[in-house]
Amino acid sequence: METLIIIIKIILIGVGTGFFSIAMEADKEDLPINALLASICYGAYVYILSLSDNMVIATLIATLLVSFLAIYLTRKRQKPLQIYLVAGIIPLLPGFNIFKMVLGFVNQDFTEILVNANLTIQILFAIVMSIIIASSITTMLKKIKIKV
Amino acid sequence: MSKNLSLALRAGEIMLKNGSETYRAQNIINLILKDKDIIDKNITIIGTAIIITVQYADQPPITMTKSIARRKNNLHKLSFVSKLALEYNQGKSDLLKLEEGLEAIDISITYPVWMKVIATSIATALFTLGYGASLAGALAIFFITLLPAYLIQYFMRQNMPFFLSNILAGAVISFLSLITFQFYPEMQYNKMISSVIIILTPGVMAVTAIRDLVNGDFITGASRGIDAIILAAGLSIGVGAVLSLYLFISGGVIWKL
Repeated sequence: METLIIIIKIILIGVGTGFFSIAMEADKEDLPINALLASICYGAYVYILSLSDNMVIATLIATLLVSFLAIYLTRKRQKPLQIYLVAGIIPLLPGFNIFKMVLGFVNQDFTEILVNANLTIQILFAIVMSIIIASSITTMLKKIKIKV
Repeated sequence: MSKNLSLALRAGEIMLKNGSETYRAQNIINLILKDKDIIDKNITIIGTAIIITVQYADQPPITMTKSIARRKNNLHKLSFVSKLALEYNQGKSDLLKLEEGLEAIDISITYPVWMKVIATSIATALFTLGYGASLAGALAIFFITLLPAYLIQYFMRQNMPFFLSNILAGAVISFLSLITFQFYPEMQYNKMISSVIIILTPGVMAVTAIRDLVNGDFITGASRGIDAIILAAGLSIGVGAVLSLYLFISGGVIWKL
């Protein structure tokens, strides 16, 4: 039952990203792909989080996975990378930690501010590093003429 | 002869003002400037300015510049201009078709505002459910997001400051959430507001900034990154300001998570 609930949540996040792609003005044919990418990314995040209980590691690996997938789709469909990359990353953004940080400011709870600011920065850094690693690897492979 | 130069500039302009990375806009311009008579070309893009210098055989160099006043994010336009430039480069279309295509895509509307507003609200509601809130919470956040999502679209169309729109959006979300909280205290507002923050965070801008930095366009990347941070901060300031006001009026701690 618990697994089913997690799967439903992953699907909901995916469909939500599909709808949000409309606000980002993505092509109609890309909407289901974006939904699928977001589901894969969030699914990977949830799975790694269940194994390691470390949000930063889970974000790093999930973003790395979605970055490679997005780069592959970009090459295959001849479209800009942002279309697929943003869709995959959205579910991993640390919105809850940002909110808790704001709440810490409001309640003058400095421990809450520090803990959440630290975690938010770490998660954002993990996202940035994953994109950089994936982009650099594919650029390098492209340069040495290896088909990805 | 300078026709393809002006079209290349136009394509670059559409790319940049719709949120493209610098190197991609440069690639598009390069694809269009494929004329055999061109003996030298130089494309410089810094932030919101494009400078192209082209030298045709037996002619002095021609330089054209374009400054981009306003940037937004439209992934459909990026993908369409890329397709047009590629088709032109591969000889599948001519300058006339390219010009018509660029003209059409520049003024086109991908989705109407009402659709974007409703899509944003549905996305927020689904995210709220996905993060474990109740159905009632998701329904509430759907209606709460309608106004801020419209505000953001309205500010964008009126060319008003983005920062202000995000502060206002954050404040409205916070205010409406607090009103709902008065009637239904059992709702998980932390998850609701978190979902809105995730959805309204400038993800496209942040990713573009990272890609620019990776490709060595440090000035553009840094300016975009700062832009994204300011926008995200605006949202948090809006949320925090209303929560602080509520705390000041009511006294005590708002929520303990």
